[in-house]
Amino acid sequence: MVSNTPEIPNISRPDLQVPSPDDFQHSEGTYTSPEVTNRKIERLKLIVQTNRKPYRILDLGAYEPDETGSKSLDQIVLASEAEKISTNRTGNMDALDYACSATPERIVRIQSNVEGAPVRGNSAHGVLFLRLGTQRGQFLDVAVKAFSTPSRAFIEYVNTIVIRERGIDTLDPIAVIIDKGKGSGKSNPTSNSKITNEPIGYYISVMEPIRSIDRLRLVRSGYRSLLASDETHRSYLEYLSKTGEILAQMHLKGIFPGDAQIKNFALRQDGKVIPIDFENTDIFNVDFFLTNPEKFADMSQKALSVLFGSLNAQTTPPINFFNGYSGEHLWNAFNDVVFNAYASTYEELVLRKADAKELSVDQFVQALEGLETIRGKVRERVLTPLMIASKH
Amino acid sequence: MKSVPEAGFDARRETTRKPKDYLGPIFVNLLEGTSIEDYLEKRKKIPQDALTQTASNLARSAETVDFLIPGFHKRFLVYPKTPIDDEAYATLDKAQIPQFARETAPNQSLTVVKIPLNAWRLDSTDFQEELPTFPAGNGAIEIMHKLGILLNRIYSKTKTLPLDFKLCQVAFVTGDNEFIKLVPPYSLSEEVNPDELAKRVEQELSAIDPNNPHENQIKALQSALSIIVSK
Repeated sequence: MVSNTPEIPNISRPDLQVPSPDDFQHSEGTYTSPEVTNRKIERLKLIVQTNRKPYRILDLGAYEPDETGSKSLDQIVLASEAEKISTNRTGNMDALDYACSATPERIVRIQSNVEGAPVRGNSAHGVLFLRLGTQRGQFLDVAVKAFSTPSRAFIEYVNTIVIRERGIDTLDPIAVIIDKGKGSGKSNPTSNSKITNEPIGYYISVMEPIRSIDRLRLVRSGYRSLLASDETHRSYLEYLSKTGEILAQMHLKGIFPGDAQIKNFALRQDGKVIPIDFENTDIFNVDFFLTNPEKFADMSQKALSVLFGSLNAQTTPPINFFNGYSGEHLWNAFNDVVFNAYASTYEELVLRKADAKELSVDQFVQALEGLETIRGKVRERVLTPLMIASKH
Repeated sequence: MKSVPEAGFDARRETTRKPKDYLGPIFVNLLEGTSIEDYLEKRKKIPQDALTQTASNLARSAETVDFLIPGFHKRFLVYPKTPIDDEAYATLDKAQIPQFARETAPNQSLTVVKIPLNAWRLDSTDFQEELPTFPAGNGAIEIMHKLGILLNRIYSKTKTLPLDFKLCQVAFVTGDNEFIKLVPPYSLSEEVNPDELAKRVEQELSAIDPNNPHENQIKALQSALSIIVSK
């Protein structure tokens, strides 16, 4: 195969110049310059390659969810670990890093020649895609999210571990590295400001070949065009249905993603859809649907409504999946695409629990009534134009 | 010390994902035989979960299969061998144009192309006028620029271009600096004019993604192509 890459000519015709970054609004809202990104990478390299102690393994088994539903698991863990991950300038920074048990080895190297990973990014955190070297001489392709509030990185790390432990497939978490920086600035590390003086939390996960569903052209082209397309293209609707299935699975395991937008569901090559981005996820006990039925219905409704709203949002770029639908037709369309899949999965899981004698007859009935409550709330949300307008 | 794997996540996935063991033998069986008829008969019996999913699937005909073996992290494009494709492959190889590697099948009537797991159909994405972020993502303008550069190389070194070019003849390989690659089977021709090719792309973009303007993408494509035209 080819080994010597010929020199790439630059765009040079003056009348056909590529526009400047200022001419366009990117999906992140702003253009992330190579300089800012490189500064973040350099800072991470500095942390990894200096004399930090090996990562701590966080014992999540020592924490119990709050059955009253007043605090989610990440809040409980954070409260306990807060002292260790505080961002003041004193204390032992070496004690701040954590790695999940699946990675009992230390990241020792960051590839200096960073390859651009042409994933069409859509992140508010300026996700970096890097290749890391580990103690055992292996490489890890990773996604690194940088947070200006370090505890947010820790929260996402904790949530992701628990979500995987409860059987929801998502990107494999590797570590969280918390750097207090030298100053006390609060500005966003993705901005062009002096990031070297601000605290940063890095959440690191395995980077797999995935794509965000919202960037698929045929999803953006809308429901009508998908209905009118051929059988192959209609399989795109299955991707959307799978988001409903995943949400039902998560809810019945006490997991409530606070930002269940369509862009936070990603497609794997094998056709599996996985949820990503758990920074704003609330996790409660696995039988939350029994112990807190009202809050369960509210939180489930909220997640489904966020998903619905994200399919009709003036984001950048905009997505208007249900264009041309309104009122009852709009609800029917959302029902067909997402909620039916949610309800089927919900019923199936509840039935399975009942078959396994995990639910009494009363609890079984209560769970199914909970589904109808959610259906009613989501339908009301979809049929309320005022709420749709406020979302926009 | 363990050997260093090619891609980082492979090492970790071994521990987190169970292979679909039954797909390996199905793939081996698909490549055995002595004729195209053997292959086509087996092609009909391939289970759905062995096929790369729609938004990524690079097969452009019923005879072609984009076969995925998730547990083993392998993906192959298999199709009946044609002299035109073989000739084009040899030409591009000689011209040192980056392309997907090929493997030999027991059934000599077949061509087997090794496809990275992170290769996607280019026409599955939307084409908003969007610039890249660094290094998180790339926009359609950069994609078209890269496509122009690829076609530039092909044209300047072989004086040929893809016949009846469509965006589905191109793959988008995430995580690779050379992220635009031609998808076989190839059909290169000396009859194709770069300007006509750019026009075809413009028409296709307008047809498949009418909600977005594409002016700057086409400029980027034409610009990258024009360097060779002026030589």
